[in-house]
Amino acid sequence: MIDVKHVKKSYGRKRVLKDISFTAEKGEITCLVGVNGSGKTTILNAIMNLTPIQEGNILIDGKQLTKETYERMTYIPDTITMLPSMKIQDAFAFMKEHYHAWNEKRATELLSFFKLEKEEKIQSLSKGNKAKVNMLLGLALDVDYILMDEPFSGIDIFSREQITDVFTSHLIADRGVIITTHEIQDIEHLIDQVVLLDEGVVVRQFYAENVREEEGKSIVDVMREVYRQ
Amino acid sequence: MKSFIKLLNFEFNRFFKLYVTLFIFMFVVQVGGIVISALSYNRTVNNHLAEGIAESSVIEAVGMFSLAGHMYHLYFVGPLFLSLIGILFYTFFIWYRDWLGKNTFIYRLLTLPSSRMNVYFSKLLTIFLTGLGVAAFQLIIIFLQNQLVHLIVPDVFRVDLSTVYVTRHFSLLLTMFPVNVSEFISYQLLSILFIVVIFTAILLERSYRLIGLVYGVVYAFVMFLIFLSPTIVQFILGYEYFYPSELVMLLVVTGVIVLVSSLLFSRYLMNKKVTV
Amino acid sequence: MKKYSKLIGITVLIVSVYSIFLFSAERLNESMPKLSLKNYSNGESASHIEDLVIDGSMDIQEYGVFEPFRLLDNEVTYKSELSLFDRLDNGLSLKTFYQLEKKHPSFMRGKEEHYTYLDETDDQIGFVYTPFTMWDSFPTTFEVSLIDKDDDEITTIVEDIPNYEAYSYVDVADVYVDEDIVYVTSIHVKNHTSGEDLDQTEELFVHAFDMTEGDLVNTELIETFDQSMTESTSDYVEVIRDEASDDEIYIVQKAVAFNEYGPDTTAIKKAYSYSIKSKELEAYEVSELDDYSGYGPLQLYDGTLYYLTVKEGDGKLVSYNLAKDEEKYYTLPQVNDSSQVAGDTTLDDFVHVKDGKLYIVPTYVNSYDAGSNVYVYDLDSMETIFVGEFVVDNTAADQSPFELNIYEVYFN
Repeated sequence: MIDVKHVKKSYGRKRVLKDISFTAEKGEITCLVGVNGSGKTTILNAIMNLTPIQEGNILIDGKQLTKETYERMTYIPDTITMLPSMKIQDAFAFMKEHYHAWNEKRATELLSFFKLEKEEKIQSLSKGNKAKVNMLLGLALDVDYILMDEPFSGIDIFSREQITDVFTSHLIADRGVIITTHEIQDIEHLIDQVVLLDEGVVVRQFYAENVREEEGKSIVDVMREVYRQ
Repeated sequence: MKSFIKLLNFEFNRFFKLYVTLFIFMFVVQVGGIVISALSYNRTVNNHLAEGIAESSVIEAVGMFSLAGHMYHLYFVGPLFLSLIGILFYTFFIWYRDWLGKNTFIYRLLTLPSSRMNVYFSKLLTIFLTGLGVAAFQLIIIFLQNQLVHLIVPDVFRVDLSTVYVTRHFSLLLTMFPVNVSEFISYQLLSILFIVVIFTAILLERSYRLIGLVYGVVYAFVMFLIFLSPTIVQFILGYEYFYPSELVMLLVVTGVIVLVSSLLFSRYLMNKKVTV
Repeated sequence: MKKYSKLIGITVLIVSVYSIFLFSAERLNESMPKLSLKNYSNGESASHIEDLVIDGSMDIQEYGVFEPFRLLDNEVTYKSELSLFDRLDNGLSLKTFYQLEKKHPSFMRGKEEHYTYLDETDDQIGFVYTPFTMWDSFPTTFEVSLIDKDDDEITTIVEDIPNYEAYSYVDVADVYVDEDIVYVTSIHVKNHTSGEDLDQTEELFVHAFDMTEGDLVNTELIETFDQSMTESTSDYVEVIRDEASDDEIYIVQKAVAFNEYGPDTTAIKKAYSYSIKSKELEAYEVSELDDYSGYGPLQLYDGTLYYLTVKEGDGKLVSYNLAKDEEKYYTLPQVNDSSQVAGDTTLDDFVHVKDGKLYIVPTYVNSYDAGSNVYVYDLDSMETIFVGEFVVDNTAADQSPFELNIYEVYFN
């Protein structure tokens, strides 16, 4: 369980996160939804200790983050986290060298699933293929939690489909996933839990299934309610 | 440790292409320069000899050819300075390249399952090694230049100097190649101190951005003042209060203070404050 | 392993190049030319130079080697051989000061060290210093200390320099310790500017400090000198202690003439003797004396001045007894060597007198005319009692030409 408790953060005078609390369970897909600038990315960065927070704390399975946590939790930001000059196989080698959790077999599977070639240089890939490689590098790690920042932004429709396919596969099952997005339609059916953010606060946190069964509403319906007010 | 070596190797390989370019540039310009100088010297001498002037008079007129005399030429000093400035530039670039542009490699480096100080030390040692590498390569070039001069200029017109002697002619080279081991070690420690303070200032900027830039500059300046505080105290007193040996010991103490506190501060920034 | 080839490559490059370099640098340091003073005259005569200190440096310009050395008691110490701390603290400093620094480091802290500031007797050392920092415009106090050699106890009194506002500078020219009284001979400088040239008045005082009373008990103005400084000449007042007497100092006003290269010859303008205890001042007639070569400190022993001069192209040693007004010329073999007479007017050698002996030491030796000698004469008979030759064992460093420059010659 990733437990975010009363996290506050500001850049100078600008308060980005006012008081953020939510939990994300293992085996569930939690989606942080909000307009641009609502602090989604900052939350992911804070969970990964990539940016300091002023108040509150974040626990991963009840513990503070340590360097070992990075063997159990990985982050897929919205741009690729490998050197553009590397070939895909170099990136694999780098991952293999530094992570025990690296699963070479799965990486190779994903490579053929995404129809990519090992010899290709990252910088010469199309935007969609870069996103796929980026995702691949995260998914090929045997980790409990995966954080993804806007995995669909600016990606062509076919790549988008391939990526959403991943969510329904065994690659995601049993893992805890936190995903941010500002356009929910594509993945609405995949999501377990939704955290609605607005101007640095959590306005609502709910399970999609619950609102569907109890209130007969879709996620978008709830969003409409919340954001139209 | 293993993870550190892997990162060091990785950082070094990232610099390698640029580094080899520097080496090639140094080699071509410095060796080419000395060959051209030696050949043109030969031509001058031969012209004089052809006019029937005696060897000794020619030597009196144009002087003997000595490698040490050519150390101040632009073709020698230029590439050396360029390499050193290149490495100084890389001291900054080695961090900023991970943040700047489309490259978000810093995400990867900071989320590696090893101590973030391994990232820090791998960058530190890369700068240190490349600096020493330039110096070592320079020495090899001087050795080669010496051999070439030997081949080109006839014995009677040439002052033969060993490589060690040549380095003593030029104060910059004398800092790179000191006369004894203890001096060598103290210069290297000073350069590490310098890199660590710069790295800490960079991390301050990377942690607090615009205001961090101010913090960084102030930090580097304060560290400089702390390190030199014994000499500053002496200057304010207006006379030589400390014995030279005391002054050196005090500088060692302030140097250790600056080094240790900068490393601890860097660790704090790396672990708690740095932001992607 | 292949993955690490570049890193290993650069490491091997650095380690091997620097090992070879530092190894050859160390070997070069070891194979430096070795200097020694070869004793020509055998037997006991070497005892004549036991206390003689020769400070200089050896240069091998071609190799950029510069090595300060000290020759003492026929033993040469190179600065590079000293321990790190001794080297830093200028281990080749005067023995008395070196010992004082080691024994009383906090007392000597920050003090300027000059041989005229010090007087050592069998059981006491007097040290006088005018504290001065770069922020002060002039010194204002005398700090007078007396060190008891038996129990190392230091008595210090600090007194204002009398009427210090009137002077632009005060210089301690001599210290004389007599039991518990420390006599300080000092030169007080007043500047007057007249037109282009700077004129100075220098007043010579002897101050008596009673160390048991802790007080300045007496101040005596001995003489006032008008000093002129022009582009080509400069006047100096020099105070010389006559070691053959107890408390006699000699005061000489000299005018150094400069040529385009620097100081050339020195004319002796005035000379006095003064007995510190009996306060008797006597003036001597010196205006007829020959100019002396160079500009270094005058040598005096038992009321007689010794210096080198050049007469009609020949180098001569002059002795002049002040009281008897008696001038003698000696032709000494090494002084007469015409190659040493530079510009027909000056000679460079150091001349020193001590304990009835005259020492002549060259200022410059080079490998082409090695064999420059140190001579010791008996002052009574003017006979050679010792000859020592500078010998440089120069086989190791490829026989490269070297130079010896001698900066200072004095007695330990």
